[in-house]
Amino acid sequence: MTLQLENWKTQIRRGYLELCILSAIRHADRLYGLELIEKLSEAGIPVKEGTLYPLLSRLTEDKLLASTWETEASKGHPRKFYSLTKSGTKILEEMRTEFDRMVATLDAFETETLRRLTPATRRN
Amino acid sequence: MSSSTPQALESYLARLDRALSAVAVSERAEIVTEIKSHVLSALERDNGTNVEDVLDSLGEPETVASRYLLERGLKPAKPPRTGILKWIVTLFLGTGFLIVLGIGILVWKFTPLIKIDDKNERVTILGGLIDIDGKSGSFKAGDLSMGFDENSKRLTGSKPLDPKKYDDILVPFSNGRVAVRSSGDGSFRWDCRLGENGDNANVQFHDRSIEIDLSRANAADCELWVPQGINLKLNGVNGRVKLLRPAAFVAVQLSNGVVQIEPDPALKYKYELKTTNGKMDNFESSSEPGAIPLNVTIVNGRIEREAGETYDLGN
Repeated sequence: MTLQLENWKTQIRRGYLELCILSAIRHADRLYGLELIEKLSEAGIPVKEGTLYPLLSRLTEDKLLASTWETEASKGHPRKFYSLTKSGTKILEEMRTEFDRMVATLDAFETETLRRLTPATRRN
Repeated sequence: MSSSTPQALESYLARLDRALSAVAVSERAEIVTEIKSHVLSALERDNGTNVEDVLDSLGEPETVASRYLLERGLKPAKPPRTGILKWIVTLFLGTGFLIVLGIGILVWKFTPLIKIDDKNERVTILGGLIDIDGKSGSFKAGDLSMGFDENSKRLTGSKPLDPKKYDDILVPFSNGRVAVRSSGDGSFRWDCRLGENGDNANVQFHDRSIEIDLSRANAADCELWVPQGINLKLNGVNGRVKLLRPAAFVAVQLSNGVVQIEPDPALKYKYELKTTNGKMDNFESSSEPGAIPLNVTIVNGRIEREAGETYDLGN
């Protein structure tokens, strides 16, 4: 894989990952870090812990996520559970709309290109 | 959960905490606790795993910390270096720099300017540009080289000087040796061997002073006998002055060279000695009213104490 493709992937994944994190937490209502990693991994979005926790920290700072420490009775140590705030939910919807629009635009390009290419191909 | 592992986890968390020093304490504690919680949860989840694997998967604590800092728009953590080590390094480098600078200035000021060879009575100035050889009495200034041979010009004379009528003897010279003794009979005597331009040397009688002008003779090797009660003022460039048991006020101003003083053990002197770019022997100055003032100012050179064996009673 070329370095250029790697860079592009890193860039596009940044925004995409945020969207996926918010979406996963919303659908689970609340999650702690390790659970989130597992959910994302199952969905085919592998993410390193060293990347995820700093991102969760920043999303919390930006008030898109709220967190609470809870200690389950059977376990000895506390866990940090994340849930979406009101503004987090709102922004997630806007992000999703924007993301869908971008994908649709890209789709439109390709459909257009296909339509134009078809007659030309026929000539040969 | 493996119980043999807290050590590795604690050390990891300590490094993480240190690398996060730019973050506020409460936030830092939250981050460290969450990472700890992650590791413990991961160990719970999978009994086959150990703490090292979980920590490996997280990555170096400094790398994790730098991601936290980047997410906050802060500068990534620098490689770990304790506060005290940083100070030692700064102090060491700073001191080293000052020492090098100081030595540089000293070398620059002294080395090329003057070199005094005691054994051969040789003074080399400006890296050999001017070379005075005290033994042979030859001088070299740039490409001009001087020596005295049998055909050398000679300027000799004698004049009784009444201290009531005369105050000063003035001797300007360049490139020369001047030896001064005291005259026992009240007359001023001079005996100078002169270099190529010896014709330019002359004796002038002023109102209350007598002047032996050697400054344009290029080279001179002089002996002067000075009567008591008369001030001798020597003003020279490049040379060697010997004051042998002086019995009256002497003032010497010399650029580049050596002034040697042989004090008369029977007399007290009030020394005013100054050197710029040079050094001087130790002389004991007297504050008694009858002490004879000896003023020597020298630039590039030194003031030496003469032992006394050279004193020639025959003169």
